[in-house]
Amino acid sequence: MPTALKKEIRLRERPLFIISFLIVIILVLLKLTTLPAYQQAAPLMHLAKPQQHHQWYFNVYVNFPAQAYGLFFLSLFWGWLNGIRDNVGRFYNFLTTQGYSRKTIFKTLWWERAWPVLTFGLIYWGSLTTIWILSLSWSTLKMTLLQLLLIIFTNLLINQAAWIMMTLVSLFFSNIIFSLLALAAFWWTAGQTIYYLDHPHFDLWNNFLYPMTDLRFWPLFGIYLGLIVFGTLISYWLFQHYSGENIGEFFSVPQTRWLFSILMMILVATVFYLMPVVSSTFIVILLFIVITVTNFWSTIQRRILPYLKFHSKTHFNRSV
Amino acid sequence: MKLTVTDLAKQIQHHQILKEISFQWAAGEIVGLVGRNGAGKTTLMRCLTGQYRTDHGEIALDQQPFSTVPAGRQELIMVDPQQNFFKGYALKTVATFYAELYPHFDQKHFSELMAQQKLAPEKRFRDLSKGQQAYVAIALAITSGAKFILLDEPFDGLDLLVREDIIKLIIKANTDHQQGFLIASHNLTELDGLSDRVLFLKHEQLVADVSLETFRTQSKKLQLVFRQNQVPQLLSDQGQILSIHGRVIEVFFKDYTEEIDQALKTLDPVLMENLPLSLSDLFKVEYAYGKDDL
Repeated sequence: MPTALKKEIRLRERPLFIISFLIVIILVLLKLTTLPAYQQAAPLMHLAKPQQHHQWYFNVYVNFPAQAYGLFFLSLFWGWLNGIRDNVGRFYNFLTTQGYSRKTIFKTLWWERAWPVLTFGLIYWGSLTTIWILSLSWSTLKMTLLQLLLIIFTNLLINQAAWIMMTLVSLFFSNIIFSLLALAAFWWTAGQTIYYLDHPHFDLWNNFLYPMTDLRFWPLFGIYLGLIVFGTLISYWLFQHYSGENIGEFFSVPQTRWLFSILMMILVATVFYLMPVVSSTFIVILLFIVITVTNFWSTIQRRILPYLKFHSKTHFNRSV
Repeated sequence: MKLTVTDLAKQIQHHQILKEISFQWAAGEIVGLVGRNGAGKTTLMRCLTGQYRTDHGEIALDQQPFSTVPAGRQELIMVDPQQNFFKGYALKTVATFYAELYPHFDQKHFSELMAQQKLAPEKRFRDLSKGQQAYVAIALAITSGAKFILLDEPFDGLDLLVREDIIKLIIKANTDHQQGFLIASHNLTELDGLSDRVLFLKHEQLVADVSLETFRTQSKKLQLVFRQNQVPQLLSDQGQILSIHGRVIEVFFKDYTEEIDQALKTLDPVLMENLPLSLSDLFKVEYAYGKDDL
């Protein structure tokens, strides 16, 4: 990866990195100060229990992500804010003019944004685990190093997955407000769809995010790894097709609006079919408006609003 | 070093903005880019620098297309004062950004230029006046060391003194470092004095690529007065009538040949006077009178 490009990105993200680093330190301190020492040790003690019957499950006590919401949300925020700031703020535009292939730029950006999340996770889990282990003896924990590493890796991966998925969101949508609205709509609808499809059997949606019961580490490890690969590949594709004229529009790559709409329509139709009729009707109307506006906004703006004489000035004053 | 653009095309929101754009631009050459508002001048520049993805066509530096050898793009720079990422940064930080990525960035020269305009390095870009922002953008482009500099409306809304400073900067960079400029501007007077040649954008295409030296030797603007109170057919057949005030007719001839000269003299005009040619005449002929065959 070119050093100049790396330095450039670090120069850009330095303020956000410093703030995030301070937040991680505060999170660690909060964790240590809010719980007495024996309680801090509790999660790892409970980790030891499943080993007795040769299973390795998440349970309410070993629910690391649930205990690290701060770090999880920080990773989400890191991905979204860096991405949206560089997309809408035209930093990507600047980078694409510098004589590097888009692949090189994306790889450099990816790594420069990935390692801070990894570092934050290592600081957080490293310091907490060290303190827990020091306050107990290793033999009391009754677990192997591999098992401990698996737990920590799973927790590191969920944050990496959170970061890359929000980077994907910030690259997919090129409008700050719309990106949040669309994400909220998608998140809620996807959550409902999975919940209703899966409900009688297993709370998959909740277990995916903050595993509560009866879920092994390995599948989660795989899911998070899959999300990282998926998020990276789609983000890379979007970056390859990124073009400056779409900055501030709803979608960074306008053609993807169809993909988004089709996906949303499938989810909405499923929710409508499965949910109680009264609540789902309202949701369907709302989402119908979102989808319609998303797809036809530029047409409405170009052809219909001028007749009503309140069209957006920015749209028509765009310099060509 | 030569930049070659071949068959470039670009659509924005289903509107064809550029099509079949082809031209060459040598380092050290100052090229004007003119066209009416919305003709696609800014889009062309952004396509050249890579800010916009092109739909079709190829841009190459010394026969090496940017699609396969993207490093060539480093010889092109366009600093857009309106759309950039560094609005919130101090000037010294902005310089650091450019210094990292442009190996020939002349930090000392940049600081000197800022000092000349009494711009403190700690001052943030967005706190500068419009004229100062334009000046900083051009100073950044010139000190980057890139051989091809694209300036979009560099004189727009600037007072006379800043305009003169910018022109001096351009001329110095051109003579001292052989830096070439592509200048999109509506200020034809300034462009006229600076440019070696001018590209005309119209109907999404480059309709003319005119060397100003050739233009001044081949073309002519005449003020004519005839005895009869009517306009001879020859004028509209061979030239473009720019204005008629009473019996005084101003005519532009793109290719003023000996035959046209003789034909005019046979009409026995009362007055036949050469008028100084300017880029504005060319612009008017192209855009106001709808003459497409420049």
